[in-house]
Amino acid sequence: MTFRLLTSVQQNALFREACPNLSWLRRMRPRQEAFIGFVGAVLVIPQAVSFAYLAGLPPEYGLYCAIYVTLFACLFGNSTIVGGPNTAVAMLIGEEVIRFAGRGSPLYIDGVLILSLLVGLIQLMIWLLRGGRYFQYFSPAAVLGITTGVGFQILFSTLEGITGVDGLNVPFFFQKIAILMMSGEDLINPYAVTVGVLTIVTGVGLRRLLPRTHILVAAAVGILAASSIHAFQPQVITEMEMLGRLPFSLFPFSTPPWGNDYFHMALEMIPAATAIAVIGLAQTMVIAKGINLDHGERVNLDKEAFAQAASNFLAPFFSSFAGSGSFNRTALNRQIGANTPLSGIFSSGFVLLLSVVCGAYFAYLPMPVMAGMLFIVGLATIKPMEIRRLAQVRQEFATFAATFVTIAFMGLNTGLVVALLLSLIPFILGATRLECKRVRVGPGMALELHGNLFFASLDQFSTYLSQAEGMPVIIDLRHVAYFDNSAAELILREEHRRRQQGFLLVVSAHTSEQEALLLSANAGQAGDLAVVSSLQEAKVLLKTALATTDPDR
Amino acid sequence: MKVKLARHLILSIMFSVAFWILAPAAWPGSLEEVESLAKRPFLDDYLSNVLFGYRLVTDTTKLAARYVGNRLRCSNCHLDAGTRAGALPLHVAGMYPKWRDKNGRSNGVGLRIRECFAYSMDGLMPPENAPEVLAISAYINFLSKGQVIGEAPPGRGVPIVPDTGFEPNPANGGEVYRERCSVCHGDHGDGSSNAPPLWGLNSYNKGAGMHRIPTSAGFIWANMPVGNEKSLSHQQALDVAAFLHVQLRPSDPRESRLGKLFEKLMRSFSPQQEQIPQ
Ligand code: HEC
Ligand code: HEC
Repeated sequence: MTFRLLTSVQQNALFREACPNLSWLRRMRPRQEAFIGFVGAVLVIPQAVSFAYLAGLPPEYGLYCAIYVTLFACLFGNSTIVGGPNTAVAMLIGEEVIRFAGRGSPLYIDGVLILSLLVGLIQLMIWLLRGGRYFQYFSPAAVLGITTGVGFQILFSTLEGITGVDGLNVPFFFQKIAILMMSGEDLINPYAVTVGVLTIVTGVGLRRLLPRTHILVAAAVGILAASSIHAFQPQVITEMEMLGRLPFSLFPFSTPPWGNDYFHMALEMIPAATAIAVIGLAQTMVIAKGINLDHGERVNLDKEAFAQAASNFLAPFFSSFAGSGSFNRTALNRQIGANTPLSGIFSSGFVLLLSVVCGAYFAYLPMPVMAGMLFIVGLATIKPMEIRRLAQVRQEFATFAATFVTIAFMGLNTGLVVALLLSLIPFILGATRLECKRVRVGPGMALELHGNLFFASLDQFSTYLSQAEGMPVIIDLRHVAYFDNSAAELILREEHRRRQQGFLLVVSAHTSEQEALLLSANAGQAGDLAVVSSLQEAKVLLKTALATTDPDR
Repeated sequence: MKVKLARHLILSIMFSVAFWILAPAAWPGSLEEVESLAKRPFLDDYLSNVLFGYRLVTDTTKLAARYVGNRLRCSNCHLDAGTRAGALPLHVAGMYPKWRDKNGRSNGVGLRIRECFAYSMDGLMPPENAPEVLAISAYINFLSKGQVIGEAPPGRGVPIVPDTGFEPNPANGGEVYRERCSVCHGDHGDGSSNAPPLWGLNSYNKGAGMHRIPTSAGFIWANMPVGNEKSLSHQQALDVAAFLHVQLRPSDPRESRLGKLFEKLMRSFSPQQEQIPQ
């Protein structure tokens, strides 16, 4: 027997997924998609800058990410999903790289590039192993727990920008509160707080009224407030942090650093990179699944997984950090009528254009306004309605609450693991469930098993067997989906025991795989188990055996 | 009158002698050390910040663009990347933090760096923990190796030009400027391909240390014209400093508020000039 890693059909599928698929060229409506791209660009710029801030990078890196990661994700994908800078991913990057260097320092930036490369590589691996579909196992409750936790973290991460207090980039909210309580009084910048709070109040107040544009209006109000303050008090006195002029370049080529020490750094980053790869892909997959539930478009999950992986892998070569699919931008994109990746491509082009044309004016964006906008985004990711709906189902609410609390108190990384485990519990419980229908066959009994017969369900299986003690049995595997070696061995041992008591045990295997496992276990233990391939045969075997045994035994 | 003149003469000779003796002795050659960092395969957080700080000081307009408003770089005034005595050297970490009653806080070297961004670079005041500020502080720490804490390092700041007994005269300074400086700095002070602008919207603002006549006179006397340093008399240095003082330049951000905004708009509309090569 020869082993091939992949069949040629699989190879073809991989190849098709990895090549840009331009079939959408026939469907596109350039004028409309250009407009949608423009709206998307206006929306992503403030997000990009504040996510760069979350990731601990200079703002222009966020713009590069919104240009290049978005572009690659659209080129390799074939859907209306908009990729690019993403809150959870940015936040995880910041949490990880801060271990190695100070925010924004050269080593830090090197660290981010390495981490993004690793994330891309791990995602490519997940794609190769066809792992995309496993993300369906994240339960909705866990996903809600994650997004709520991320929203909560965002709210606290804006405190530094709003109060102007340095040194608030400690990971946990209680630490931040402690610092603010202890030393806040004489460090809090009253001008920054005024501007930040004004921005937030405007945004939250207008959310109902202007669902699409309230963030931009809030920003305008904040900028106006900051400018009026600066008309009376110069910036050197208020010390309000400004975005500053962005050193923007059109083709920001970069290479992740190379060498022994960087390699060690990369090794240390692998656990975090895995977590980021998973949460990034999970978001893209959840979005894709959402689109598939919607009517109209069909998204190939594996192709989108590749698009995400490839764009993250390429990111560090364009001064960008890793990203993922964006819930809010994809939703908007589809709402206003996108139906090909072209809108995303336009959006990245417009970000480029706007950065070049208006870059000089970004300089006067006050950081408290940026922080306030981020606060509004964070608040919007917390959805009390959905939480209330979940609260009605105890088990789901427990999953949600455990995920959320872990994220708040132990960080996003740990929270993700908890979310994954909790999501898996129902599957594990479901998978280990084994049911048994007993059918009389003459003096004997046929055990018709339903479920999976493997190491985790053997205990249950023994119980069923013991209920058919002292009579010949047929074990019917027709409805057993998964059957493993340990089950085969158990059956063999049971057959031995029963034979000694003078009762027959026949197995009716359903698949050749089951049969092979049983026979090889049989050969290994030099037993002579009767394995047949249909229930009919098994019954015949049972009856003839009964007929030949001594009736007055 | 005669006594006064004699005192000035003696004082200036003393200053010059002291300067000549101290200047060459002052440097342990750390600039080479910094440059050699670039060749190492891996730098830890501190050393990579030192190197980044060095690059920021020598290529400020490009690397610290977030906070820079004009076309200067730190090393235009802090000559030889802050390692030349008498030209505002930066090996001064031992002098900080110092107590300032102005704001009742203890101010580290970070505040000085941020002030040079706000005034000398006519830009924005960066926050205390901006990566740029932290990197330049690291560079300053690195340069300050071996200095005594609390004691002014040799060659700190600029030499003090002794009082000549005459008021600095901008008109005479204009003459000096045309003869000695305009070759490099341009007839209109807007710089050239080999010298930075001295006034106009692309130079330091009125809040900068260089705008103070004693400081700029000391700097000019000790370091200008390049290649022919200390060839100006003290009086000439003071005159040309006064001449620079009365030229048009960006306003002090502490005094003019709306004016500042106007200047910035003007600047963002005016065509960006070529960077002067290093
Ligand atoms: C236009 C010339 C000029 C430029 C450009 C300039 N500086 Fe300065 N800098 C000065 C002057 C003059 C002083 C002394 C100020 C004083 O004594 O009040 C000074 C002082 C300093 C000091 C304190 C030195 C001491 O002896 O304590 C530091 C640190 C400093 N500058 C950093 C910088 C940095 C960093 C940059 C670039 C972002 C920069 N400077 C750009 C003129 C300049
Ligand atoms: C040979 C050309 C040359 C001449 C002549 C010259 N300078 Fe300079 N000047 C320079 C260069 C080059 C720098 C920047 C030094 C550096 O970056 O290392 C500079 C810097 C300066 C600075 C500080 C930076 C700034 O833009 O404010 C001042 C002030 C200055 N010169 C004044 C003068 C004055 C006054 C004269 C005439 C007495 C003069 N220079 C003559 C080349 C010259």
